[in-house]
Amino acid sequence: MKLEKTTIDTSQWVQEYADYLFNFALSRLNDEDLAKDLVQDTFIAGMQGLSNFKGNSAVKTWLVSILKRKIIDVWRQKETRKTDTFSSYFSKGPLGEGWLENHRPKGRISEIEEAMENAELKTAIFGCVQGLPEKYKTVFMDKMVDEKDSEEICKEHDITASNFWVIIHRAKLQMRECLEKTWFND
Amino acid sequence: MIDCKKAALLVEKKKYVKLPFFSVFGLKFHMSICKDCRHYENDSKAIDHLIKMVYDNSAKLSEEEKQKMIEKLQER
Repeated sequence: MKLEKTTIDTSQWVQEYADYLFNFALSRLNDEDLAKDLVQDTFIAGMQGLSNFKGNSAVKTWLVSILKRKIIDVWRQKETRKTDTFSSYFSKGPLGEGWLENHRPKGRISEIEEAMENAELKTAIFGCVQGLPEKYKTVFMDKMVDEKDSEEICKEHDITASNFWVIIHRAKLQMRECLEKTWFND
Repeated sequence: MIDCKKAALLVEKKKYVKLPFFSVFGLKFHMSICKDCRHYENDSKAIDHLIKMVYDNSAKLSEEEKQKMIEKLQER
């Protein structure tokens, strides 16, 4: 009996949550096939772990948390293969007392917008987001892409409000610099 | 006095929360004398816009793909 109920529920899950989960994965991985696979895996993991689902969050939130862990696993696999990272970026940072000489904003990013139809730009932006450290990336995506409530993000990641703003600030600095370097080739 | 580091942080923060008066004032003053930070603010806004355009969350799985998913789940 229980099995039958589970089957019915999961088929509704696909109709109800597949698109949302797919977009969530796609925005973080930029790979449709991989995103589809992870959504499928998430449903399977959700189904198998149904007995662990306490019902104290919405099914959607619960499925997203499963998917998030899977996405982070993919990031980590990629991270080990990555050669050019910004990981040492914030040991120095672009800011001393003022903007350091080679890091001064030139206010050119808005020029990029004109190339928006350009697939290269999407790749550039995506590449820069991918280059963010893992924690920055999750917080940044939650805020900038999903437009989640700041307090909610702090709770989920167990960080203070001031910590949250520092993360957004640093992620933005890194994004800005990465985009400028990637797009204007200097 | 607000330095560039603080100014860049406040530029992000003020998009989402109401800053206290002294921060608003300090930031305004800093911006009036610092070209780099004015450029930073323009860049920052442009990035927000780019991200909204790139990540529009409008992708959809086809009914066929969804059916496949349902079938795979029912196999289990």
